[in-house]
Amino acid sequence: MPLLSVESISSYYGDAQVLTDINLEIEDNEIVAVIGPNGAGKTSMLRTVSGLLRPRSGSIRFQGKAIERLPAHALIGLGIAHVPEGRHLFPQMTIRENLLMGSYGTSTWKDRAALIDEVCTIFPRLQERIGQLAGTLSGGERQMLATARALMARPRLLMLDEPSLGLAPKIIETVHSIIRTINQQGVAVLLVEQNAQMALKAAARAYLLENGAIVKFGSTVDFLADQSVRRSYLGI
Amino acid sequence: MPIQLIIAQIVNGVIVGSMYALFASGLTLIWGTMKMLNFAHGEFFMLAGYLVYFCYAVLGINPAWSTLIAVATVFLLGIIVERVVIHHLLSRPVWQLTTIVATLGASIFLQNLALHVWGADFQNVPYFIGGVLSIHGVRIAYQRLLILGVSCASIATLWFVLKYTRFGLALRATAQDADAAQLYGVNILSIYTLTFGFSAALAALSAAMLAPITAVNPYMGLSPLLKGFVVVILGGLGSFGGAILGGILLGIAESFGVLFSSTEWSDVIAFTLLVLVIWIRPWGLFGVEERS
Amino acid sequence: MPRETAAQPRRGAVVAILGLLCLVPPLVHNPYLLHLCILSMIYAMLGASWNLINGYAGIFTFGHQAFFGLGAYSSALLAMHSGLSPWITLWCGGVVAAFAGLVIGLPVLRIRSIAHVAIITLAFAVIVHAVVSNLPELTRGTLGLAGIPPFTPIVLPRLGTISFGAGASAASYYVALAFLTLSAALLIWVVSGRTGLALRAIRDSEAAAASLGVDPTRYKLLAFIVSSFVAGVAGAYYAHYLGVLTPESSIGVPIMITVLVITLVGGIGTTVGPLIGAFLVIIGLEVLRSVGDYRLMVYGVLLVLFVNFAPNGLAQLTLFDRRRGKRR
Repeated sequence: MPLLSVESISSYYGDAQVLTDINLEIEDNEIVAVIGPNGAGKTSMLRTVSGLLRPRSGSIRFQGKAIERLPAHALIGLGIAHVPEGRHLFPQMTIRENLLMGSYGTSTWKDRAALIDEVCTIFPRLQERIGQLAGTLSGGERQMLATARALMARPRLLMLDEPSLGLAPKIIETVHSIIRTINQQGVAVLLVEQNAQMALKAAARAYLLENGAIVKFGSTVDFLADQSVRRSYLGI
Repeated sequence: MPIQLIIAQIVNGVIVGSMYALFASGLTLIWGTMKMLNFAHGEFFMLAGYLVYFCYAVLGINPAWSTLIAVATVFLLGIIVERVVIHHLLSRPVWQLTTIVATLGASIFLQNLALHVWGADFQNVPYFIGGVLSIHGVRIAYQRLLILGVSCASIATLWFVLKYTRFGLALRATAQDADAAQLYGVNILSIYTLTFGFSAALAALSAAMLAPITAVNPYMGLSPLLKGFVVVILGGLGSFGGAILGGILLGIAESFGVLFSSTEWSDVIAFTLLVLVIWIRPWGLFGVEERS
Repeated sequence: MPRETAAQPRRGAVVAILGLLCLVPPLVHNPYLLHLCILSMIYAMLGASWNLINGYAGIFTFGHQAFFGLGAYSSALLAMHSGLSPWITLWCGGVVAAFAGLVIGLPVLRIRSIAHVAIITLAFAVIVHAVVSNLPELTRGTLGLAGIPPFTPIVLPRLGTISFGAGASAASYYVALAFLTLSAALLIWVVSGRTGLALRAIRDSEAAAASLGVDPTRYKLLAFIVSSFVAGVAGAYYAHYLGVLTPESSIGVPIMITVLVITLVGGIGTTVGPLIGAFLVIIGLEVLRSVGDYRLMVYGVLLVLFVNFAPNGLAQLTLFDRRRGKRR
């Protein structure tokens, strides 16, 4: 049984259809990349999985349980953590408080103090600035805090929307090595990236989303060998 | 001007201002989390005034219990009003406008309900404690000192709840980024309901304290509502500290204003101050730009 | 929110309603009913002018009663003290209101937050209300002005001399209709011309409009001035029609609530909406007198039900529309 399976999902913003018949699966401990051009519906897909956008048809199962009708706030407790595009930190709250929010909706709330120490070993920068407001952080630090906040929930599935957006190449390397570390600790990762090169390097399998529909999926090896993918998304 | 008079005016301004602050922090709490204006806030104030009058002046229950009963009842009423009147509007488009009309509707209903039940007469509520404190010629009634004490205690409590409790964390998270709050397990609709209830309770507490000074009638909610709006804009909408400082500032400005002109002009002073501040700082003294 | 397309504000519907209104006095002789129709027309002018700033320019103000009251008091005081005919002072009332619109429009237009604009315009109206109430030597304060001269008689070919004031309901009715028609024509002219196009562009995306060379402040200020001018004329007409004014009846917050309800009931951002809404709400409020003491309680409940079930006005009942929009 896959960890997450998305079955024939269609979503709309008002009358405008943004997703058409999406099918996607993630196994335990897997890194799966979703690539595609700007506006293809990558963010809408994540928003649909995490309940911020209601699908008009189709079903979503997490560990076999149907979740497409659950309210957005119920999913973190099941083990789905979503780091949205643009990080969506709480800017007027301290780093510590942002981290606390990560375990707010889960059973990890009682272990919050130990968990903060734990995630700070992965992100030592955060430890140094634990009392600062999140709004004062740099772009790379924000991405780290957003990821750390998600880890505070001890998720089974981590969904990252454009983690490398707006970051310097060197920081992107760091972010991606952290993603691999997290994955090695047993967390499945759904990685949405416009930066296809980075995403395909990190993941084992990938989906290509264009105009709200999945046009290609398979192993990243196949993706890297595909002429049209190379031309359109890798610039080779 | 004798120095005693100046000190007395400052003290009185701070006392009245602390009540504006308490009342306005309810408005700013609602704006901060729900991004809406509550035009029924004055009616919660008015109903609490009547409850205190009824419990304390009519039934003879002691002031502390009367206040508690009024605050608890209005808290529940706030929850009901949010669930019935506003809740379904918040997830729809143009909620900024529909919530204004809905709270106006609730306000008209509650005001006329009070008029129907209690009539238009002014009801006097006796002071909770009598006596006057006199230090070097500065005289302050104990009732006013009680007001100051209660407002300091409640503002401190409110600050502690917002800063250090799990509920406060969720409330601030919702105010700063509702989407992210939901992703991390905050049921924002429950937060909205509770916020509304607490906000109503703050209005109720300020009414319980002011009832002995101002007398109770069905229209008593309008003036604090208007001043509350001035305070929250003055301090910066959604800013808790801004509401406190804005309230005290307005209290002092008014209490000095009446030295130079008659009391009828106090509203004009308050609102002119507001328009002037907005000319210079559109987002209030402590506010940040609001993008709609 | 319902929007008319740029090309066709429902001019036909407006003309048809105004035409129908011409037929009322010959058919309805009850002076009380005519009085209600006149009040409705006054509120239609207020609603339509408020709608210009709110529905078209997208600025939510909550102080329209200030312009109504300023128009009413300036025209009344001018007519009482200078002896000028109300036919002349009425326009002065409009100009005073327009000037006030300019003064309050300048700070307001720098702000885009709905709440800030609503409260600052409300504050302005409270200032006007308080000033009028606190100048008893001039305005008789909260007691109100009485003995405001009615419109002076006019001589029309074939009809002879027509006088206004007490007992001349039909004559007053036609004057109100004439002002309503003039206001509607002015507002439609503004909305359907270049200005209207610019206003809609600004409402939908201020940045985009500015990048195309539309100066947002200029057009919004123009809308503010036109809107307050019409409100001022409506107020002046109200003063000379009734002959008495109190601060509460001409600058009170309830006026603003009624205007808001009228526009919402009729449909915000439409030309015909406030016209229909005014008659429905004013006459509806009279019908509610049948429930006696409960009248305003019922009104409050109706408002809550209305926004919950038909937030876009009667024209667009959303009872069966289950789609939910995105917040923010």
